[in-house]
Amino acid sequence: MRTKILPLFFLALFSLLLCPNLSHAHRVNIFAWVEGETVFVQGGFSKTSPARNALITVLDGQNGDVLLKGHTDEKGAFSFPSPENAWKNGLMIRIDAGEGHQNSFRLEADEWSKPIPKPEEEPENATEEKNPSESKNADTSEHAGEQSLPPTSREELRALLREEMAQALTPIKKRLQVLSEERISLRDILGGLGWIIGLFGIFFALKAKKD
Amino acid sequence: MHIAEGVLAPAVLAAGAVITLCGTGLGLRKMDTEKIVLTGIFSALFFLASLIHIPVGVSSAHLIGSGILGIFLGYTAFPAILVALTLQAVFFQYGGITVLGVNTATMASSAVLAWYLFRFGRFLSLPLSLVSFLTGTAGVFFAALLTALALAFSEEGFVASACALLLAHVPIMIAEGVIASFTITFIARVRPEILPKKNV
Repeated sequence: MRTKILPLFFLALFSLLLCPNLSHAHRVNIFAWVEGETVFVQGGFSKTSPARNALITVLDGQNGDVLLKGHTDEKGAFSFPSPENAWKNGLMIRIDAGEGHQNSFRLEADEWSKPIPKPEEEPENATEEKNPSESKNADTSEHAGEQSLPPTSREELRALLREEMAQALTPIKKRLQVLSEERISLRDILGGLGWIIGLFGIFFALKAKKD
Repeated sequence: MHIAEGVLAPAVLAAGAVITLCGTGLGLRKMDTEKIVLTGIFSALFFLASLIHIPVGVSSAHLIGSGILGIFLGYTAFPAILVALTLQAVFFQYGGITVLGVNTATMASSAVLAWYLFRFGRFLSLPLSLVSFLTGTAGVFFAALLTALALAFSEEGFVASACALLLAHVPIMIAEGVIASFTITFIARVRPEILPKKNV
């Protein structure tokens, strides 16, 4: 009887270890990125199981004011237009998937491109000056800017570039999202087991000495 | 069932820490030299069990093992689970250091409750495989209820948390019942001396 049960027991154990979902994390992950004027948020427990209908709270990155709240959709996604001061203060986005699952993600202010300034405020304009002694004068750059391109077409060009950049960066941001999801590696598992053996080994040694 | 950082109120965190401290003290006093090895093994089991997900339904629940831990360890489950949860928080970012007290209290208390249930079942002379199955199932059941109790003072409230947690863990309860039933009947055949005595 004993010889029959032993292999069965180990078979059950091994089938559990071969479970394909072995490395899935049980905490909720959150990732957010800015695309133009919209902020996208993605929440999930793992790549295959999104956090559906999870509460998203968007806070001001500096003073912690609640800016808006919402729920994720079936794919664990949520998006909202960039709040006014986001490019100055950044955002803190919190996800609450219920049952004690909570996580947050910080979007720093530099994720946003600064609002398009008026042409007068543009200091960087490398242009040829007729008189080199005037180059330190603040007025020159203003004149030079007007010379090279009319302000309206500059603004249009900037907006166009921004749009193109956002599109080109999307795959990179998606890739970042995958990378930012901290996966459990074999090293973590073996490290943890090593700690357990070590701790109880020390305890055993101490107790054995006393006895 | 790991509650993440920042969910619970300080009072709940403090209560969990006190329960864990008392339980761990009690468990360490009951741990004699022979039991240290067993405690270490089950600490490792608990550490690994959370990595094994049962892919049934929409939830993302994993094995817990509090029932089996309870049967073998009794109050010694407190130090075993405290060690395992600490390492899970550090290595896997499950739970967290500030919620360690609450998470240990809920998981280890469910193991201790399962231990009492197992001894009661044996006292009634029920068949070993049935008692083991029920204990394995009850371990998860108690764990879900106690976690919901800890969440009762957060936004969700007790009833909603308990319903969601229990529903998500139905497949886990069945799986753990089967595992406990297999394991205990096997151990009873080969090493009966490490199981709790029948009439205590």
